Amino acid sequence: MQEKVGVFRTGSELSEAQATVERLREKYKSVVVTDKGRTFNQSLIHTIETGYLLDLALTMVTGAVERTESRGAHSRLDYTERDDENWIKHTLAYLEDDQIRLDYSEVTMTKYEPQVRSY
Amino acid sequence: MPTTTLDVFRYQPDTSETAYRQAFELEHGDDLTLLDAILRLQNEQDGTLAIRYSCRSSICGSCACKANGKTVLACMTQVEDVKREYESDTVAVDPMGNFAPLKDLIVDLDPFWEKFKSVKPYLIPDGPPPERERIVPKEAMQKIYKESRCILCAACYSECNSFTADPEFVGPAAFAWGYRFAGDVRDSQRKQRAKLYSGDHGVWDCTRCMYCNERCPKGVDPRDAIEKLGGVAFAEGVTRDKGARHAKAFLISMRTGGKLNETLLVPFTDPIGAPLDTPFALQMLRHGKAPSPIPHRIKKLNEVKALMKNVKETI
Repeated sequence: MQEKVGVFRTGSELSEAQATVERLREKYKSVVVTDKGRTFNQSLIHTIETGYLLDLALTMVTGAVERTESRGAHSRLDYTERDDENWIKHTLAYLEDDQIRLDYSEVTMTKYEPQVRSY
Repeated sequence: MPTTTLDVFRYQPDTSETAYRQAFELEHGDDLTLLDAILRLQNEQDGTLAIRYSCRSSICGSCACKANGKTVLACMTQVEDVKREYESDTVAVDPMGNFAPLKDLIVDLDPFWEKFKSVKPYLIPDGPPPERERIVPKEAMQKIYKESRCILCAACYSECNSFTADPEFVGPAAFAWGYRFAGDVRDSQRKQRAKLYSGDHGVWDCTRCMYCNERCPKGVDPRDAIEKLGGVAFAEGVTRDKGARHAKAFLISMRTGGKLNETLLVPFTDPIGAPLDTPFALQMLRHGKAPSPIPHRIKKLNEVKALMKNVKETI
């Protein structure tokens, strides 16, 4: 995630990262907790947290692969332009049947409409 | 790459009632904190190894433990520094002293939190709150600057000799917080605090071993805070308890004789209990172990008086 899903990202790297995360999630299904005790079991906590991290990683990377534009901290080196026509929308991610299903919702426009930031 | 042997105190209450030691070998780069080292052991060698930690950057105060017998914050201590100081590739890692271990390096801090709570570690201002904030001059805040840096890691309790001798001793960090509020210009409870802190197991029970000052990772100097609370007690007229009387006896003895008269110190400190010690005192006198009860005056008493005056004016 550090290497391939940073602020500057490309489609191919994101796809690679996606494959890696999917592989790791598969591997995680057979994870072993080394500490079997009931007192301050940090091994158990770390294992549970790793599972959540993998879910979150998959959410991030799946959304990023689909979003073929650059916007804020999502800077696609293969789609450097902001695309307001197709991408003014929120990405919603659902974990269903152990897979991410993406959906989108409209952005509520207020007094300050989003616009290109050019400094 | 340097190699270090970490000789770790182990206690696994789920599998055994007895504690034991276990040596781990670790290869590592030059920069490695003790906490990193322990977490690497946990990840790579033994998942059951436990240490309390959170921020990894010496602000949360969770990871205090002992490195070669000295209480430190594990995240603030470089393994290579410890090795250099002790000229050894082995570092002994132990849980904090004076607390019961719960598992490996994790100790039961409940007594610590009880003591902390007992000093009312919060501001108790007078009257209804003002419309805006209470403005405090910078100089007033600087008086309690050191004490307000305490992160409650309990390293001072791990080292405290008075706490070892008397588990009910309120202790260094709690008193540092006590002074942090007794010395706050917005606080209205100075006198009540002085009374609360100088009761049994209070400020006067500190043995002045200075270990809390020496080992505090944040430079709080809890012993200094305890001393300042003694000053608060005197300033507020809370001087009838044994501790304050003891301190006063020192003062009077110095002012009148120029040196400490130990034989008079005891009855002055505890006029009711002291007569019970009379046979013991006589026995000591007979063996030449106690100074004469007749007050002695040194020749240069004026110099002592001048010094005392000087100190009083400086504080």
